[in-house]
Amino acid sequence: MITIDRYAYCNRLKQTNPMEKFIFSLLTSGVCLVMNSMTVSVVVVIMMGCISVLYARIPTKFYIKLLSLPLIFLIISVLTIIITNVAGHKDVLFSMDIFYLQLGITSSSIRYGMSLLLKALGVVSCQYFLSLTTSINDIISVLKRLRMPVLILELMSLIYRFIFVLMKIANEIYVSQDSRMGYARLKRRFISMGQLISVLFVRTFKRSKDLYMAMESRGYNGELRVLEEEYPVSVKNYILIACVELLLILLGSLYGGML
Amino acid sequence: MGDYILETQNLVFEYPDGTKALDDVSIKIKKGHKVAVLGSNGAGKSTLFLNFNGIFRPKQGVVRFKGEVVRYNHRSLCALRQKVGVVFQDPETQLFSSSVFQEVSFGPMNLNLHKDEVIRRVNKALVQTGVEELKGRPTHFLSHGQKKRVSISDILAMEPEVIIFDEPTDCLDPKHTLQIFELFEQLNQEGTTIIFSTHDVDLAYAWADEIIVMQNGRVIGCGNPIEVFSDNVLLEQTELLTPMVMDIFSELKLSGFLDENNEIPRSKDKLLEIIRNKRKSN
Ligand SMILES: Nc1ncnc2c1ncn2[C@@H]1O[C@H](COP(=O)(O)OP(=O)(O)O)[C@@H](O)[C@H]1O
Ligand SMILES: [Mg+2]
Repeated sequence: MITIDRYAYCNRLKQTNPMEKFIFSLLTSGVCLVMNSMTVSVVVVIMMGCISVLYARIPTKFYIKLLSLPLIFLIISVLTIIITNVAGHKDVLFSMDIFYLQLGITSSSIRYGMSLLLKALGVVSCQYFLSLTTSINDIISVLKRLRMPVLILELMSLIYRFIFVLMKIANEIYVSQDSRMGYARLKRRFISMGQLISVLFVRTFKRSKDLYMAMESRGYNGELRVLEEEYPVSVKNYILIACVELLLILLGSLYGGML
Repeated sequence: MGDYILETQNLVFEYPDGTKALDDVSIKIKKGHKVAVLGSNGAGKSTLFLNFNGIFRPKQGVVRFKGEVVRYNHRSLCALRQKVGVVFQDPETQLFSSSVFQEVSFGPMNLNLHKDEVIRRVNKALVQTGVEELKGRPTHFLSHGQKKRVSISDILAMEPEVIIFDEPTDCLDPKHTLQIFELFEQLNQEGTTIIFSTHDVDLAYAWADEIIVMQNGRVIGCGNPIEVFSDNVLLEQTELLTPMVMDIFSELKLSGFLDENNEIPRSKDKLLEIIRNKRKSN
C-alpha cells in the first residue's frame, strides 16, 4: 500500500489533470462492467496494464505482483462458480460423483466463470491505474469538485496524513522496545505489543490535541480551507478518452461474449 | 508605551491537571526587536508562546497586543492570530496536510485573501525557507529538517507582525541553522518582531537584542545579552553556560592581552577582529 502511495507521487502521469484520470478510470470500468464481454475485458486489462507500465512507468514486476494479489482470491471464488451440480446438464466436460451429488464442470459454467474473472480483473486494473497515477490529495480534490460532502473529504485527508504519522510513531516505539530486548521471547512479545498499542493510543490522542492547537493558531475556524493545486485541462485527453470508450463499446457490441 | 508590541502582566497559567506552568510573568517586548527566551526544559517557554497567540487563556493577568488587552472572543482572537504567528517546536504536530503546497496555503486561506495572493505568498514562503523544490512532494516523504522548514513557511505565508519560533534550530544542520537565522535577520529588517526560544546560548548571545531567562514558570532575568550573561548570580541560579565568545574575551582581558577599554564583542568574528588588531598594534 505504501509503495502504491510512493508511485502515485512519482509517475509520469502525475502532472496530468486528475479529473481526466478519474473519468478515464471510472468510464472504462463502467464500460467493462456493462458490456459483459470477454473481449472488452481482456482489452481493458491489457490497455490499462500498458498505460500503467509503459506510459506511467510503473515497474512491470511491481505491477504484475500487484495484479496477482486479487487474482488468487478471484481464482478461488471463480472455481466455486465453475464447479457446479451438473445433474441434468448436456454440456458436461468433466464430472465426479460425491455422495448424492454429481459435481462437475460444464462448458457454460467455464464460460461464465471466465467472463466473471476477466471482468473483475478489468475493473481492478482500472482501479490500479487510478491509484498508481493519482495521489490521494488529487483524488480528494476531484471528489470535492464532484460535490462530495466536505466533512467526509476533510476526514479522508486527515486520516491519510495520520496513517503516516501513526506509522512513524509505532515504528519508533517498536525500535525502542526491540533495542531493549522487548521482542526476544514470546511472552515479552505479547507484553511489548500490548504496551505499543496502548502507548500509540495515548500518543494519538495527544497528537490530535496538539494538531488542533496548531491549526487554531493559524486561524482555523471549523473549515479546512486549503488551496487546490491546479492542473491544465487537456481537451485532447478528453477526446482521446471518448474515442477509447466508444471503441470499447463498439468492440463489445460486435464481439459480445466471444473470445 | 506604544513601542511595545506584546506585553504580559502578572500572567498566571495552569494546565488542567494543576501544573502551574506560568507564575506571575510580566514581560514587555519592543516592536522590531529580536528576543531570545532561554530556560531549561519545562521552564514554561512553549506555554508562554501559546499564551501570546491566544491559544491558552491565562488564569490571571493579561496579555496585551499593541497596548490593547487581548479578549478571548472570536473576532479578537482572529485578529491576534493574524498578527502573531507561532512555529511549533515539533513540525510533525503542525503539519496536517500531506501536500506541502496545501499545507502552506492553509494560513493565508484562513485570512480570506484572494487566490492569486495566496499563491504568491505560498511560493514566496517556500522560497524563503529553501523548500520550493519540495512543493510537489508529500509531507510524509520529507526529512525532519525539511518538515521543520515547511512548518516555518506555514507561518511566513501569513505574514504576521510577530513571529514566534519554538526552538527553531532544534533539528536543523548547521548550514540550515545559519540559513534560517539569515532569514530571521531579513524578516527583522523588514520590521517583523522575532521571538524565539533556544538552548544555544552562543546563538542567543550573538543575535538577540534582548534575552529573557525563565525558570519554573517564572521570568528570573531579562535585559540585553551582555547584561544577562554578565550577571553571575543569575547564571549560577539557572545553570546557564556563558557564551564562548564572552568567556574567551574575559580570559584574554584577565591575562592582560587585551585592555579594559575594549567593548565586549558579540560574535566570534568580532572577537577575532579585536585580537588581530591587538596583534598588529603590538
Ligand atoms: N499539556 C500539558 N499538561 C500538563 N502539564 C503540561 C502540559 N504541557 C506542559 N506541561 C508542563 O508545564 C511546564 C512548562 O512546560 P513547557 O512550556 O512545555 O516548557 P518548555 O517549553 O520551556 O520546555 C512543564 O512543567 C510541563 O511539564
Ligand atoms: Mg517547549
